Amino acid sequence: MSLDPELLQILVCPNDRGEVEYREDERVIVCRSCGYRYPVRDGIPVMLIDEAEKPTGRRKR
Amino acid sequence: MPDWRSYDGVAETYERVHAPRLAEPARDLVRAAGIRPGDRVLDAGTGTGVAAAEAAAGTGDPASVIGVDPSLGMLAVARRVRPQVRVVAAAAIDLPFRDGAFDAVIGNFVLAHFTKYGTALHDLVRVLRPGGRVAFTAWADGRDELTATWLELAWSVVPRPVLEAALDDAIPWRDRFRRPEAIAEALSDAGLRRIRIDRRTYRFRYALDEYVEGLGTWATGRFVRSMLGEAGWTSFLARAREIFGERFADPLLDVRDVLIAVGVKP
Repeated sequence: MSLDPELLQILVCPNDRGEVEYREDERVIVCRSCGYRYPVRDGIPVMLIDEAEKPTGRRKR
Repeated sequence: MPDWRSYDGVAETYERVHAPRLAEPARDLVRAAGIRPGDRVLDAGTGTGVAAAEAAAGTGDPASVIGVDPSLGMLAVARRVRPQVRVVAAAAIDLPFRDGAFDAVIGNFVLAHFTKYGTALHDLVRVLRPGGRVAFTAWADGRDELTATWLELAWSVVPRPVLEAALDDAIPWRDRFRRPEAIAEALSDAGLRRIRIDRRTYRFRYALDEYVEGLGTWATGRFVRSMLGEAGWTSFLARAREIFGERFADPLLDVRDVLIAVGVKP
């Protein structure tokens, strides 16, 4: 499912306001700086820190 | 047991009973926010997208309006009923948007829900461009006969201090933001200027059954329901229907004063 490009333009990570990218195949929005992964459920980006999958191991922040 | 504070479980009823009524103040909110064609608008606490849809009518381009809400249940209804509105699950306190991304930020009856309203307002102002407008609606006084009857019913099954404590948790600033001075102060503290607050009266009409059904969507209703369980809630609603039916003519007329506040980011 594609996401509105205009929306992606203004979207940032709620955790550290880093740049994000949408990985359509995984249906996930990933922060390029902290690595938090936000699910896209039924076309709705879930940009809630509590719902994010956090990277394990090496901390990127 | 799902969290009673969440709107997820009441989204369908909310949409059926309250959304059509809340559209009317939402229209005035959009007008107060001075939304013009071409504006990019954020609707904070969009719920089922009522105010976002009104804003989209104002901008002339649905793609220019984004609604955010922490409740996925509400957003799922928004997507189904108002597919033109873009929605994102997000908390007002950690908005996932760039600084200055919006020309206007609106919130239809959400201000009183922000636990840390100062922090939430700060973040809402952050995503606004300089010269952009913030506009909120808030319920003014709540001392009407319908509310009094409802509270009397609720207190008959849940002790008043318990219900009050629950409400403090769900809508911590419900009393504070009934006062225009308190809203003006909060907006001013968030860095907004040229603050203007209007008061307007709305006359909402409900069929008795519809009104009673809608009781379960308010924070008080959700809490009472979680306390009573489903069987208890069903018989409680039957009693509520009886009492509202005895005291008020069907359809019920709910006259509510609403504050509409606007501020500009310098």
